[in-house]
Amino acid sequence: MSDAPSIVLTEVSKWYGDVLACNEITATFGPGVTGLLGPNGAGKSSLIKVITGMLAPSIGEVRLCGAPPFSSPHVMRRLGLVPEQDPIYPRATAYEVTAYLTRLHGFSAGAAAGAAKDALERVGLAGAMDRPVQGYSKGMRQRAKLAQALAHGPDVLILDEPLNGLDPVGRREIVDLIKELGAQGRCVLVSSHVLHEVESMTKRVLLMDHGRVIADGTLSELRRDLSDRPSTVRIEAGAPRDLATRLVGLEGVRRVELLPGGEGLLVLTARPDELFGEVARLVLEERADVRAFAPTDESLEAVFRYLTT
Amino acid sequence: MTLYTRGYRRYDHGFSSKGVRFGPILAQGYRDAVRGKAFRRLNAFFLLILVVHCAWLYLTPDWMIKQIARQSHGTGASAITSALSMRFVVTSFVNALTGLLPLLVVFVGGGLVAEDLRTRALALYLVRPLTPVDYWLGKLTIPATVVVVSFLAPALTLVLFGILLKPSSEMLAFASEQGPIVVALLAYTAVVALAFSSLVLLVSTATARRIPALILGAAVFYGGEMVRATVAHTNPPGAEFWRATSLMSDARVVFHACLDETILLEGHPPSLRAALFVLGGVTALGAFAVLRRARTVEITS
Repeated sequence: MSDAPSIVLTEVSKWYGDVLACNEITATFGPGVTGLLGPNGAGKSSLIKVITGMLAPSIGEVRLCGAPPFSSPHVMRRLGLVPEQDPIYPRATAYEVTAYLTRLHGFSAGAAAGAAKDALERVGLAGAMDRPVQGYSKGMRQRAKLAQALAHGPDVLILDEPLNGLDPVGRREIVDLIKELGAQGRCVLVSSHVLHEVESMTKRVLLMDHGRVIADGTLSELRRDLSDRPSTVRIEAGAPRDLATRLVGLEGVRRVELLPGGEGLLVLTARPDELFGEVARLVLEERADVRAFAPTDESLEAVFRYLTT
Repeated sequence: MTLYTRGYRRYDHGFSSKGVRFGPILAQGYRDAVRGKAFRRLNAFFLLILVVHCAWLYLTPDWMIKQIARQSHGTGASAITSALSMRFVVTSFVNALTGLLPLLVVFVGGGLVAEDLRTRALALYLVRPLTPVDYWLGKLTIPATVVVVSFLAPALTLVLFGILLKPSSEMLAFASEQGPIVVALLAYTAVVALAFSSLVLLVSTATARRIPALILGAAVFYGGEMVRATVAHTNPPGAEFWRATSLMSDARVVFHACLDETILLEGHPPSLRAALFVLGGVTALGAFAVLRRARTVEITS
C-alpha cells in the first residue's frame, strides 16, 4: 500500500451486460481537489463505484493508495465516501449513524463517539445531531453524509454530488471545507454535473461523456489545448467603435460585436494571445481607453460545450 | 459481439482481511431489534410461557408424576420420575416456543439485508474495511443472539428452577442428571439460531424489501410445516425429504435425538438425517446468498 493518497486508473472499463459505463479510462489523482464532471449518464457514478471497490472493473486496473480496492478491504480505512443517494438509516440520529459507521472502521465505541461528534461539528450539524435523520432537510442529510465520510479521518475522499440540496450559505461552507481538505494534502475527488460548482472548488478537472474521459487537466491547460477553437474576449472600452476598426483587421479575428449600451466589444478570435498583445500595445502606445479585457469562455461550461459539440 | 471478444476477463483477486470485525454490526443490529414493539411483545409472551412452565414444575401433582413413571415402564423411583417430569416440562416448553421462534426470527431478521439493499446502505459497508464474511456474520448473529437471549436463557432458567426445587441434599445429584437436557437445549438453540436465521437472511436478500421478506419468511416456515403434515401419512417419491421441509419439526427432531428419544408427531416424523440435511442446506444457502450480495453493488452480473 502506498503512503501518498492516490487513485490510479489504468485502462479501466466497466460493462453492465452489454451497456458500456466506463470506457478505457486512464487517469491519476493525487493530493488536492479534482472535479469529476459530466452530464447525467456520463459514467461518473460507475467510475466512483469502481474506484471505491463497490464494483470490479470489467477490464483494466484500479489502485487506491496502491491496492486494488475491490479485493482489499484494509485499504478502505483510508477512504471516505459521500454517496449520491440518501443511504443513511432514516430512523437513527445523525450521531448514531456516524458513530456506527465509524466503528466499522475499527474504532472503539468511545473513540467512534468522539470522532462522530467532531465530524458532525465540522459539517455544522452539532445542534441537530441527536435528531432522527428522517426529519432532516436535504441539505442536512448532505451534511450528515459528509460527516460519516470524514469521521475516521480518511486521506482519500470521494464526494458524489456533495452540494445537492444545499442552500447558498451551506454551499459556501461545504465548498470551503472541501477546499480545506484538499489543501491539507488529501486526495479529494468531487463528482458533479453542475460545472460552476466544481469551478468554485478546483481548477483541476476530469471531464467525462458517454463513459469516456474527454479531457483531463487544469482549466487553463484545457483551454490551451483547445486553442484552435475561437475564443471570445470581452473588452470594456470608452470608444468601442474606434477600437473595433483597429482590431477587426487582426489575424485570427473572426467577428467583432458591440456590447449593448456601448460599453465595449465582444471579439471572437482564433488567436487570443495576439489580440491581448495588440490591445496592450494600443493602451500603452496610443493611449486607447480600455478599462478591462478578459476571455469569457474559459469557464468549465464553455470548455465542456466545446468538447462535446 | 460478446463481452469476451471485447476483452472481458473476470476480476479474480481474492479477498484479504486481518481478523473478522462483525461486532459493531451485531451490537447495533441487536440494539435496533430490541427497540421494536414486536420483539418486546413476543418476548413478553415467551416470559409468560416460562412462568407457566415454572409454575407447572412447582405444582406438578403426584398423579402426573405417577403417570409419567407408568409411561416410563413403571420404574417408580423418585429421582427418575422427577427427572422425567423435568424432561416432560422442558420438552413442553420447547414445543410451545417452537411455533413462535420463527415469528421472532422473521421480525428481527427480515429487514436486516433487505433494508440495506432498499436504502442502498450496502454501499456504506462496502467502503468500510469489512469482508463479506464480516457482513454475513454481523447480520447472522443478530437473530441468533435474539434466539439465545429469548429462548436459551429462559429454557436454562427453567432447568435451574427445577433443580432449585429439590431439597439441598438431592440438588447436586439431580443437577448432574440434567446434562442431556442441557445438551439438547444447546443443540436445539444452535440449530434454530443458524438455520432459522439463515433462512430469514436468504429471504431478506432475495426480496430486498422488509415487509415482503417478513411475509415470505413466515410463509416458508409455516408452509413447510403444512407440507410436512401433508406427507406425514403418505409415501410420495422423495418422502424423506418432503417430511423434512419444516425447519420447526427438524429442529425438534434434533432436540429429541439429543435426548435419545423419538419425536412424537402424527404420521411419519422426519428422519434425523433428512432434518440435518435440510437444516444444513438452508444454512449454506443463506450464507451463500448474503456473501454473494455483500461483494458488490452490481446486480446485473
